[in-house]
Amino acid sequence: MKTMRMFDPHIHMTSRTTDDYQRMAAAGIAAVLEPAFWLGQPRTQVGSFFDYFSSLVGWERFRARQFGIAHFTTIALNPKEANDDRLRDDVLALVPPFLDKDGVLGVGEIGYDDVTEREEKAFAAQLEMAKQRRLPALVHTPHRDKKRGTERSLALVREVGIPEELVLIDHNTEETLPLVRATGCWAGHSIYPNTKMTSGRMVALLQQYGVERMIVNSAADWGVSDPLEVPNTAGAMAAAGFPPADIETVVWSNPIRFFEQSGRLDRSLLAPAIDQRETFAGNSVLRGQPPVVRGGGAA
Amino acid sequence: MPLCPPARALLRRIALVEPAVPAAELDRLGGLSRSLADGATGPEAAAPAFVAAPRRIGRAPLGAGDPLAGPDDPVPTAGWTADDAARAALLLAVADQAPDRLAGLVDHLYREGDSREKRAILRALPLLPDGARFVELALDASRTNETDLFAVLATGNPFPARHFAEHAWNQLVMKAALVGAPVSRMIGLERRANRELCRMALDYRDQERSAGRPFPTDLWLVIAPFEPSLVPEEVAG
Repeated sequence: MKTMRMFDPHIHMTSRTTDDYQRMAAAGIAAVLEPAFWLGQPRTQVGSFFDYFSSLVGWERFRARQFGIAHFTTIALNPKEANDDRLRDDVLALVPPFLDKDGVLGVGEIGYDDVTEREEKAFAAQLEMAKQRRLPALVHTPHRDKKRGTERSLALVREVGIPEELVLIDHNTEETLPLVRATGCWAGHSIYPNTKMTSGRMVALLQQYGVERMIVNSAADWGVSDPLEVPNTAGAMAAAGFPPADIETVVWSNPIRFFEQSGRLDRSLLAPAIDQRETFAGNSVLRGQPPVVRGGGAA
Repeated sequence: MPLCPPARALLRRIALVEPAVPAAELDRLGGLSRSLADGATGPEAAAPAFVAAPRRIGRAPLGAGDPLAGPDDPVPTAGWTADDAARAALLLAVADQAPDRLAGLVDHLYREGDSREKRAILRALPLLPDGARFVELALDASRTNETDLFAVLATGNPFPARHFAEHAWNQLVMKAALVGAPVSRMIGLERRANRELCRMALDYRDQERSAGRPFPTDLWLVIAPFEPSLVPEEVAG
């Protein structure tokens, strides 16, 4: 059976190994989107953000391509670090130049975490940046007080006036999904062991709500997480009797449709050719192995 | 200039569990605070002694003992180690002899600290005068993903209940429940109970029920004051 192509539209590859890239490619993942977030502990310098954003449009994109995976990103000051008065305004000033770059398909992750006024200030400012540029916005919803945080996120989306179809509300649960479905926003689900959503619960939500504007991601990062959760969910959907067309809608077409709104997702970029003879600033992913060279395929 | 009484009390506790530490090492802590008071050195001058405390003073558990007398609340020392105590003594000596240098020093040490140094500062916070000025630092700490560091702020520490505004307090309680820190060990839980926190805990109960996951038993402590009828019998006891 030909493996279905899949897109993981929320995964922090910076924290993942080349082994992960190999397993993801073998499981059918042809494209990833790595939203800017924090790195597990707060940064103390604006320059750290500049280098992080640069790596998302540089080395990390190159690294993914070496395994035949197209790598895109969204750039933003994340809600957690938006609470630092010493950094917030300077980092917000760093964001717009990155939003102009090729391969940056939107603004994100933005949103609430502790649901503070400072977070709201950064959230609103960055929703406005997305609105001005007609770029998609990827909205993180909080772990604590999630339902209220989601309600407030949707209210802020309306207040800023960004078109709802440009907004992806992420990390939904059974409690928050009805709120998002009542709007024109897209609904993201992070299949993340223990704390967020499981593939079994995801299948139940897809049975209840259908596949339109529904998106699934792994949100894999430096915590205990699994970069194969999108393929796992595709498998769970197949086992539950979803037709292949519906599965493909969820794990491939929907993230493409959402991020295509940026006007920058050229389908010829998906599933790039592999040429491990390439280097990035003189660096190769190889450590003495023979390079793999393989043709690519457009979507 | 003699060391202030709370710093002396800490040094006595250290001497009990680290008898091999030369008295001169402990004296150095007081000497540093004097040079800070003279204005001869910047706050960074205290950093080497603060940083080296585990090596110079030791890492032995402080053991059972009476709570320390903080300016607002008694401060229990369960879980403290000798280096925590030495670092707290250094900060207290600075607070006593160079009070206008304290805030800058604490901020400097926290920002440059490794996890154990940050832990010592969070433990010392409720001992320091005019604690409200350290709220931003504590809020920053409350956002950490290091669960052991988080627990040092959230549990067994009177600082958050004394100084956090209601929203920040509520977030701290909910995060404790989410990361598995014992909510029942949060100091001031009864005094800071509020309806909004009860509402947040009940929303979380709904979410965990939908996900088929267990609800942390000690979160009922923040629900019980307002919705006693909802508390399951086996929890209410």
